[in-house]
Amino acid sequence: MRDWLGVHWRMPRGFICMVVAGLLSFGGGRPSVAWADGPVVSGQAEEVQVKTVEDLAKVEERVSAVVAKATPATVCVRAGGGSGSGVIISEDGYVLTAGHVAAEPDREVTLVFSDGKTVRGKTLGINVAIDAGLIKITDEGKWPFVEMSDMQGLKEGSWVVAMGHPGGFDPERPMVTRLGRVYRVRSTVIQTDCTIIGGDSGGPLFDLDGKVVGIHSRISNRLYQNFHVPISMYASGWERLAAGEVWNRPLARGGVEPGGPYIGVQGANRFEVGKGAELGEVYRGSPAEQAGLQAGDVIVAFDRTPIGSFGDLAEVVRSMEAGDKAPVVIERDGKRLELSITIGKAQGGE
Amino acid sequence: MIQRVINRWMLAGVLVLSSLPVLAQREGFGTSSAVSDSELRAVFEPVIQSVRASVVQLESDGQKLALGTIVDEAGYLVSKASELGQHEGFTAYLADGRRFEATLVGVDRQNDMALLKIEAQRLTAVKLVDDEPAMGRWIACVGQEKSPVAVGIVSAKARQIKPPQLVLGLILGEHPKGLQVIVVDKNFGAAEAGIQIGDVLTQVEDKRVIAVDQLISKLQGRMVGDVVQVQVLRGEELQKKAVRLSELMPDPESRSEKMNRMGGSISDRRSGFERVIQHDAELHPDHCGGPMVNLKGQVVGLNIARAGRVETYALPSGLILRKIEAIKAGKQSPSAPAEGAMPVKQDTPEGDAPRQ
Repeated sequence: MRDWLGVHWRMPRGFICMVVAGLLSFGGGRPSVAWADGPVVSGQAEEVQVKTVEDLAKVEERVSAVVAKATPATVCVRAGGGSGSGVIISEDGYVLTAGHVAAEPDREVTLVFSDGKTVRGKTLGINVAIDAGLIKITDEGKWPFVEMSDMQGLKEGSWVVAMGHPGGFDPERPMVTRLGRVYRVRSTVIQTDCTIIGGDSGGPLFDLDGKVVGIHSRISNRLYQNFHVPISMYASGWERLAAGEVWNRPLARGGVEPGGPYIGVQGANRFEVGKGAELGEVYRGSPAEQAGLQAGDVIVAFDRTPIGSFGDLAEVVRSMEAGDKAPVVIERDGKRLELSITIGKAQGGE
Repeated sequence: MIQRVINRWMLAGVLVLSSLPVLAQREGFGTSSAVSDSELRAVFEPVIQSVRASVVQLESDGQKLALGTIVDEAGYLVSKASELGQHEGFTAYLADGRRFEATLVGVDRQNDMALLKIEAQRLTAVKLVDDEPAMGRWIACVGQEKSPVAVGIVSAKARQIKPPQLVLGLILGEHPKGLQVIVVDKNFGAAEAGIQIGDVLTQVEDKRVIAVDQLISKLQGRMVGDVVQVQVLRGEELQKKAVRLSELMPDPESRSEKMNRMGGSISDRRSGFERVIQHDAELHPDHCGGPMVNLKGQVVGLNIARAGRVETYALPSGLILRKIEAIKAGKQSPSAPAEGAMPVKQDTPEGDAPRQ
């Protein structure tokens, strides 16, 4: 089983239209977070080998420095009835969190600092599928913040420090730190053995320089199955996040419905709208494979419906039933092909 | 594979996922050379070298119960009381291969700390160092093996862990002769003791009760697993019952509780401590009772509970030192485990509720 970390996992409900870009702006102009040109984004300096007790002592010093640097900028996020975490990444109060903590844009939230002080904030944009969310502190002030990593040095085995508020804010234990290492880095997810749990969602994952490399998102059964949104996803989606946009919305609550329509493909990790649905993977023995679909194919029409994105594809498939036949128009190697698929039936999910 | 998992949301209705653990095994997660836990633990070997000799394995009837830590060369050792259960005699296996019969000297109930004694010579005792490590500092959990059984960092500042709420498992209403049982929850001690709907609770520990407040005050200071003697009126007949107090557990089907158990076993007794150091070492509950050392090899605490997915608790050495003295001075109840060992099922009804 897998679990999302929010104390209350709430999917955004009923967004028929995208929130208009620019609906929420704070102080006007561009956010002061510099992704490309500013000094706040930088790489991990060097590789950290741990072979001796002296190496352990060096890691310990660096972890302690991360704790000191990160504690003032790591917050508990109280939104609705739930509680998650977040991290401030600019002096004017932009707070990175998980998409499922923000849950929906323009929501009033309370942020709790480790000393118990609270400030008000408002949720901005959400990249739902990636689980990235953004909050802006609305109270006046200059805020303690941490730098973000460009993730260049992050790889399997890199040391990482997780901070957050597992189980919610507790004045007796105002911050909880865990140390671990990276198991996998992918464009859309980082997996570590830094154990996290409900309430940590949205909290920061740091490298040993104290720079944010990820945001806590979800877990699975094993202690090394802790998943974090890569900081790069915030960089690439910054304009939309800051504009209060919600995108990559799922089409149903939860996962696959057993018995529901199924074709057996996975999207490539690109979310451009208007270019069709690019397939990252076609599962063995699936209806899609039987139809002749391959990884890399871009579906541009399905059952005579134009497909602009993977979400469009999901929506069309969901509207069909097992046993239905549908023509599929794809682009492969610059050529258009038409295939025919028979919709299958989903198994029991996870 | 990971992408397949994270995209699950977005792909609702389009694909079917295999369970993640299966995928993980196929990919060989956890065996990656860059992230080898056993290699990391091995780096700590010089740190824990001198402490290992003080760790004992406590067993009873051939069953491993918990680790113990020799704190005095005269033969005193400390362990986790609730893991010792209701056994009468214990065998302590020393790191050097010797074995001795251990007797219970006393228990600090609140902190779940047991003091035992073995009659042995040439023992190596740890030096308990009263120095609580700060957040972010390494700690190693020592067993009898060359490498620590688990390593991690201090996760939070030392603090108290509040006790759980105690329950009998009854809903009671007013009655001229006491408190009438309206509901019996089959998962708790009252049902186990054979109390039935309609019974009237008349006495608790030989004192009359006519109000719920009186009952609550009678139970104050009690611990999970304590057995309370009650008298009930069933029809015209007075009956004596022994009710084991239970912890009001979070619903095991709740999301937060499921999450907390994701990743392995946790200790049954994991709350109600006066002061703990929280760390993130992935300790097996059976390894409670052993020492926790800092990077200098100083014994700064004793592991007392695996509390959940992200947390393990150790009693700080300062607290342990005080409690050892208190137990020796007889200030703590030396009869505690015996009380817990009292027969719970004096009058067990048919189809008894499963015990937790």
